[in-house]
Amino acid sequence: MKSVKALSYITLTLAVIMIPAALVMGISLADSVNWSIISTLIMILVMTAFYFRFERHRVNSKDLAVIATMAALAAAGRIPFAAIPSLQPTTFLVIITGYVFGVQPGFMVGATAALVSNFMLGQGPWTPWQMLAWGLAGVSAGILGRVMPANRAGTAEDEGPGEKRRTTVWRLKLSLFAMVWGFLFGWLMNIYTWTTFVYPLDWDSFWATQVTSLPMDVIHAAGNFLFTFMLGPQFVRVLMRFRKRMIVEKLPDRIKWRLTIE
Amino acid sequence: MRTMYFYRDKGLFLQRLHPATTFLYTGLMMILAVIYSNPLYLTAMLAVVIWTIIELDGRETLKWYSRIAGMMAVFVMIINPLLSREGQTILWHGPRVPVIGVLDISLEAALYGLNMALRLFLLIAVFAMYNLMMDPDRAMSSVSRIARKSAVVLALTVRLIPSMVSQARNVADIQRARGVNLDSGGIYQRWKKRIPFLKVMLLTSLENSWHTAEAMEARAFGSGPPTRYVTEVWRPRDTWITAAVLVSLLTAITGLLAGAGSFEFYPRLGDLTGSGEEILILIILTIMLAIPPALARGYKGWNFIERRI
Repeated sequence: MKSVKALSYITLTLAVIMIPAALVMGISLADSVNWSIISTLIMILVMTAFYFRFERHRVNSKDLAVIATMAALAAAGRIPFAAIPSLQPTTFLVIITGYVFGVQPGFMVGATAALVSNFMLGQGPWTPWQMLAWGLAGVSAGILGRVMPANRAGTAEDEGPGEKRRTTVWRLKLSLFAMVWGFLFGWLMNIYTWTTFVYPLDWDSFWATQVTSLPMDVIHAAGNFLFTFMLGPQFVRVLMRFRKRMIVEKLPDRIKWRLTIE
Repeated sequence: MRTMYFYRDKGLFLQRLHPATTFLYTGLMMILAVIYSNPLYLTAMLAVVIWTIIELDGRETLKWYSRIAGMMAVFVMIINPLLSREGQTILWHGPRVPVIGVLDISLEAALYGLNMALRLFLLIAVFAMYNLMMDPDRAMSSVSRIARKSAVVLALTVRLIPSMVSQARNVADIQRARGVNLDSGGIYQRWKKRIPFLKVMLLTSLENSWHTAEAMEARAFGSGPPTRYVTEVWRPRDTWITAAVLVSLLTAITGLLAGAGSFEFYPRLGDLTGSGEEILILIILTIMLAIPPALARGYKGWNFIERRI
């Protein structure tokens, strides 16, 4: 509880002191507002909010272990595929984790994978933005999981043709979602470059910045689509089964009693 | 595990600072790098950072980071002159391009691009410095004071990666024994051959996570306040550096309120040196920010300082 309190104080301090301070600094500095600082602050606040939410949640050791495992898988996934830049399973793994386990684990897996993989690859100004982008990919996948649940998706391959078609449609939708995140990821990452190093900040320069990273984004998006299309159903099935195993409920005493007698 | 880190522990003076001190120093540098637009300020800070990196024995790291910065800098130096039309000293009258408009390249915009490239190098160098200074393990354990569960997730993830890498090696060996050649074929073929990897890895590591959770329970996870393994010591050097950081922060704020550190590019280039006050602030700031590398140098070469801090 103490740590939660400390964290909430830090969030408050950030919100109350730093945003006005940044505004004052930004305005007093040059002819315009320093959007680099403001966008960074907004990003930090969004992430603090999610971390704060996680700290407040009741989580047991299994939840933590599964989040850490998926994050490690996503982070380590950057290594064997490192030969081809942008073509890695990280985004795919973050998205299916969010899809199956929900918003909060989705964020934690995305943010943790970004941070930890950079322990090995080197931290840079890109780290917090990668954390945010992958975290939000997990969050949005968590929302998608509620809107478009995978009721028996992928589990009914040997049933009627209608069922099979529904599975294919579901699979395509999830793959398209992952593909869109390939582009969104690049756009979020470009915000930093755009606000910090480019002037003037208008639509022309915004799109020009986006265009420069387009080849990478296309590879990323195509990779996401392929990973999700080929592995999505299987992986979702595995994770769903695992989620079921994680939920342990205590039986009421009288039922337990009856079970031991029988 | 520790050999996988980007960070290498060499037992240097600057690697033995309290985490709070390191965070304060690098944090201030990062903020100032984004706020200042005056090339004199940026150059002075870059010099300080490079000195710190040299004291940290990190020339190779700096080279590695410079390569990344170089690639990004090319983009920054090209896009700024192309898109900005506020400069008044036109160097080259270009043709009319459909989306962007008239393609005039002005001196101001070109210099702005150069200056932003300088800022980029500074920022990247600050991160290189952070990577050399801060042990991720110690950073994590200091985070655990405010965000316990998140820190546990981080630590678990870090611990899992090496075991996953060795597991991946096993899977690769098994695949090879079955006749799969992972390093042949085109990009798509190679990519496709790596897919079964992921499947095996997912199943095994999820099973393992179960054991991890049980091990945590067996070690009484969640049954009371956590204990800590790393104990951090606050030494006189931390006091000195924190004081220097605070003084430079105050200087910077005073300067910013007076408009020091900014530089007008548009419509015409401003006055580089500005008033005498601006120069004074620049000098104080540089000296204060240079205290950590100076202490590191003194620690190496001067017994008197070594005994005091």
